[in-house]
Amino acid sequence: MGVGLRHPHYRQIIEDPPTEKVSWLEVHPENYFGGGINYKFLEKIREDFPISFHGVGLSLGSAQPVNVDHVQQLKKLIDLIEPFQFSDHAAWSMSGNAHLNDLMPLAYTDDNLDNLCRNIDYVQNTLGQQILIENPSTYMRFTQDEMTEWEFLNSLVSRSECALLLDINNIVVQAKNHGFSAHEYIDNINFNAVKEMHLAGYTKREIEGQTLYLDTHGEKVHKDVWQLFEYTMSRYSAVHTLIEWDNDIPSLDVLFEEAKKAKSIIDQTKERRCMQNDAAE
Amino acid sequence: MMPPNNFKTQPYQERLAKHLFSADEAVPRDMSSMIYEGGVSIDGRLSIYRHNVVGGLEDVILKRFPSLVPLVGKEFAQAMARAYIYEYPPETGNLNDYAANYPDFVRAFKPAQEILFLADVAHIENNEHRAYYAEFVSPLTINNLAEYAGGLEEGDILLDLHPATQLMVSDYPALDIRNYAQKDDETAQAPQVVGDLQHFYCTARQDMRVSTYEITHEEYIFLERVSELKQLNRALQETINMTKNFDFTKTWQNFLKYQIFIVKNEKAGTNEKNSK
Repeated sequence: MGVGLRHPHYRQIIEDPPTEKVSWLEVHPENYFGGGINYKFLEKIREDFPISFHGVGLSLGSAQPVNVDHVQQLKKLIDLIEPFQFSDHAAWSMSGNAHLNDLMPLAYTDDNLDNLCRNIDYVQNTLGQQILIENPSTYMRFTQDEMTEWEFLNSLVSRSECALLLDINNIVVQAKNHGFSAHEYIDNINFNAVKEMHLAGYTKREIEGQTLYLDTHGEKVHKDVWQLFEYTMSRYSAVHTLIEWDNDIPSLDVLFEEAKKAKSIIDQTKERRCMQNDAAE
Repeated sequence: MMPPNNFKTQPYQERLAKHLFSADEAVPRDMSSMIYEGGVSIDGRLSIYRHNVVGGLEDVILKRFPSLVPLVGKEFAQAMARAYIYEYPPETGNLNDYAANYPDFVRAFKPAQEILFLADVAHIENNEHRAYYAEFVSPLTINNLAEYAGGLEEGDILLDLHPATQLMVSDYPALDIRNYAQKDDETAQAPQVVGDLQHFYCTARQDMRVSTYEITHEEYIFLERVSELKQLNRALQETINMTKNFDFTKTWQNFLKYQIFIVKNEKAGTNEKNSK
């Protein structure tokens, strides 16, 4: 189990590394570009924990090519910190010279699949490694969608040979906002390609009398997300799993409790699957 | 039945980016046909993204310049940040570099022009941000001075400001105002804001801590000369020629403590020690 490493926890993690409570940490690499004090903290923390990079700035879904300078800064940081994996999103942020600082939704079209594959190819070739792509949470969908989200991601995997980061919270948010079955998503996603999972909290917002679910990473993991996680783990073997929390960041103990809960679900479902397999034999 | 697919990604992304970075919140009419309403209007859906994009950047600016909020109030600080975001959207996904010209924007922002010191307070906070993210290079300190003392005196070893070191001049006691703004104590005495005396400031990073110090005019001249000439003796001589009361010994001790300098090997032309 891993947790997202955020600025308020740097000193605590350095002074008393909680190696028994969490086995790896994930950071947004953009926060460490250019060096400085944040980088020094990360350099120290990596002595005790394996680090995973979760990018938010590549804008892989942009119609335009990815920013070469951004990829070079990322490569430099990867060479220094040696994270065990790197992920970014099936989304776009950059258009022309404007960076939107949010993960904007893509229409699920062949056109966008081409753009994503072109940009992922460039990044994978430049970094010399396979990257993971995270399924998005979105608040609108497009009249021109040609396929479901899982079909889009499965095609992406087979065309670009990338892996997937499956955010269970995002699937719940998508299913609620766009009216599809989260279980159907889990049943149909190519789980062989999934190398990491995220768990996080969403926030409900009333807009024009309707409830929309926002991927805010500012609350505990909700019950329906835990249920979908349990369903996922009842079908597939566990992969690296992370508690993600970016807003109203609580104490580390709260993150560790969430991580412990996830670990307990992984262990219980594994035991059940083993018993079922034994019975079948 | 699905309409014919004339969806073009690039123009859609350009229009949406332009829309979100515009104070005019009307949704472009041609974008409406691309998005399902499904119980919530397109305006309603885009308002979430607008909140994330503009609100997220507002947070970045307010956190980067925290003293501006108590000085002008949250509503004013947010409006000023929003005006900046619309004029200068970020150009990359590396937000550490974003809003570097915000102090200049504040200086030119008409509704803030009566608050004469505001831009200088922003300048101090910008310098501290730059110092925080500056490259790590081993500084010249009291502990390693003996290694370089001879070369510095002879001019064989060059001296320069550390990449984290930032200098500024203000017509106002900007540092006192900034420190006052950050105090929770309501009984704290407000600094006298008189614009008839120049104040000289140096921001430096000591190990993992960034601080700004008020320095004397003579010390400021000395640091400027070091930055320009790269040679200790020449910088010292020029400072003495330009000023009357330069206490080099005291200044030198303080600056070594603040970790303001680096040394450069003249022959190699590179930093002697570079930890990253």
